[in-house]
Amino acid sequence: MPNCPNCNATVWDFNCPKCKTPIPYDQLVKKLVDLPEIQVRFENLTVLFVGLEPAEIKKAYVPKIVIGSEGTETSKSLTLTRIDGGTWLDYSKRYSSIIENWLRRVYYTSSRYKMIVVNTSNPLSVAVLSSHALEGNETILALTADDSSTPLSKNTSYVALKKAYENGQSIVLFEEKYLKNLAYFDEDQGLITGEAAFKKIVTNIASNIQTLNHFIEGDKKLGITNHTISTLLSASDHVYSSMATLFKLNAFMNSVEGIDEDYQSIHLLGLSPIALHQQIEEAFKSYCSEFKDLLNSEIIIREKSSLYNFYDLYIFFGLKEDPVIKKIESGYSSIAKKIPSLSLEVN
Amino acid sequence: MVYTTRALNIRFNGEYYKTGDIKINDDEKTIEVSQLKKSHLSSKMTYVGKITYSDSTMISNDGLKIKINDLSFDISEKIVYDQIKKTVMEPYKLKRERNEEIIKLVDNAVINFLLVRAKALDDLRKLSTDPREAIIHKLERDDDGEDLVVKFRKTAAESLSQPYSEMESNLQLLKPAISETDMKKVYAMIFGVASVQTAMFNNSDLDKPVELLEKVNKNKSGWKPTSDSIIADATKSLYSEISLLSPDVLLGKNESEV
Repeated sequence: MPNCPNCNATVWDFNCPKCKTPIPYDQLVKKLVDLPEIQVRFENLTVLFVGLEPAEIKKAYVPKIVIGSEGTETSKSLTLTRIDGGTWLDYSKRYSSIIENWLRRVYYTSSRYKMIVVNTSNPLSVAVLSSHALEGNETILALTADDSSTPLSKNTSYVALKKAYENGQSIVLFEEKYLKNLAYFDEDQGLITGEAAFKKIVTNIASNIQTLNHFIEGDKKLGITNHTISTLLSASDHVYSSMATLFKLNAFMNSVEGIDEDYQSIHLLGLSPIALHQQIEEAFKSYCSEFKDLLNSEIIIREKSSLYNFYDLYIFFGLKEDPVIKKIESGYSSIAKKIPSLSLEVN
Repeated sequence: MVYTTRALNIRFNGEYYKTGDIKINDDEKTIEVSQLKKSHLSSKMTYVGKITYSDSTMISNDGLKIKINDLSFDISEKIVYDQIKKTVMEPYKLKRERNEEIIKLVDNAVINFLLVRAKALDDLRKLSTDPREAIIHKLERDDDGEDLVVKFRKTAAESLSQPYSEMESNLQLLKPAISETDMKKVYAMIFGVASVQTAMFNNSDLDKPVELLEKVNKNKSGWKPTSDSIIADATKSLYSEISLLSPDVLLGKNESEV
C-alpha cells in the first residue's frame, strides 16, 4: 500500500490529499522485491497406488507409480520405462533414487494419513516399499502373489512384503485370487467385479482412514502388523437369515484363503442405516466371543443411507504371522537359489 | 563554429527587414540577426538582435521560408535550410538519440522486472493452490534435503534480484534525461503496475492501483484484466496500455523529423 510518510494515510496519488506530502514511489518500488506470504496446505490423506491404476478417492491426494512404455512424471503420476525382462532388482537399481526423489518432490509425507495400495507382484513394489522417502507409518494394502502365482511373482511379492515389514509398516493382505473372485452388487452401479470391486473397497476404506488407522495403530502396539480383511458389501437381511450367520460366512470371504482362525484381533468397520447399528454390534460381539485368544477387538459403525437397507461390513483380522509369506516362500526360495541376487540375504 | 547566411524578408520581434544576415553561433547556441542597410554611398550590416536556441527550439520550413521559433526569413536554396537545421539541431539530435536509447533500456528493464515479478506471483499462486504440481514443474531434484516449499519461495524471490538491480541502475541513468515530475510518474507507474499484480494475487480490488495508473498516464484508462487471468498476461496488456516509457511521451515529439 502506498502510505503517506507524514500522516500514514493510504494514498493512491502523487501527493497526500490531507497533508500534501509527496508519496515516495521511488522508495516504495524498492519493496517490490518482497513477495507476499502464502499458505501451503496438503490433503490430510495420501493414497499411493503402486503397479495399479488409482481408485477415485475424494479429498485425498491419490498418486500412482507405474511401469509404462515411456517415462513421464507429473504431480499425480510417475511412469517408469519398462525394462525388458526386468526383475525387481533391475527396477530397484535403476529407479530407486528416481522414486525417492519424486516422492519427496510431491510431498508424499505431508499428509497425516498415508496408505499405499501396492501390487507386490509388480517389480516396482520392492523399490517403493524399501524407499527412504517412506516414513514407516503407512498402512499398506498389499495385493499379493498366491499359491497359483509363478515363482518369479512369488519371489517379488515375498521380497516386497518382507521389506515393508522391515520398515515397520502394517499390511492388510489381499491375495490375487481374492481379487479375481471378488464381486458384489452396488446400489448405484449394479454388479461390480474384480479390480473395480477391489477399488471400491479401497475407496471405502480410504474414506474411513481414521477408523482404519485407529484399528491398525492399536494393533501395532500389540505387535500385530499383518491383517487380512473380509468384506461384505451391500448386504441385506433378505439374503442372510441372521446377522450371526453373516459373520460366520465371512470366514469364507477372507482376503487370504485358508488361514488358521487363531486371530489376534478382529475389528469391524460397518457402514449401515442407523436402525441396524445395534443388531450388527450385538452379532459382532457374539462372533468375537468365540475367539478366546483375542488381544484386541473394536467396532466402529458409521451411518450409511440405503434405499434397500443395505449395509457394508469390513472385518479386519489381525494375525500372529503373515499367512501369505508362508504360502509363497517356496516360490521365493526356488528363484533365490537359481539367482542368488534375487534373495533377501544379498539385498 | 559560426555559420552565416544571407536572408530575405526577415521577421523578428514584430519587425520586418528586407535583407540581412543570419549568424548561427554553435558555441554560444545563439542566432544573431543583422539588417543590411543601404545608402547611396554604401551598405552596411547593422545588428538587430539575437535569440538563444535549445533542444526545445522549433525549426521548420515551408519551401524556402524558414521559421525558428518567432524568427522567420527566406533563403535562396534548400541546402541552406539543411545546413541551418544541422547546425542548430545536431547536438540536440545526438542528445535525444542518447536519451531515446536510455528510455528504451529502462523500458526493457522495467517490463522485464514486472514480468519476472508477475511470473513469481503466478508461481506462488500455483504453489498455494496446487503445491505438488508447482514443485514438480519448478524443482527438478531434491538433492540438498531443504524443504521444497521454502526452496520454491526462495527461488521465486531470488529470481527478482537481478532484474530489479538492472531496472534500478537504468532508472538512475534516466533521471538526468527527463524532468523530475516525469521521473516521479515513472516510479508511480512501476508501483501501480506492481500493485495491480499484488491485488490480482490476493484476489482484492484492482480499482485503486488502476486509478493511480490513470493519474500517471492521463491519456489511458479503462484497463480491465480478463477474467481468471494469469498475472504475467495481465501485466503485459496493462503495461502496453499505460507505459510512459516512450521517447515521445518523455522527450516530446521529435520535431527534427517534421
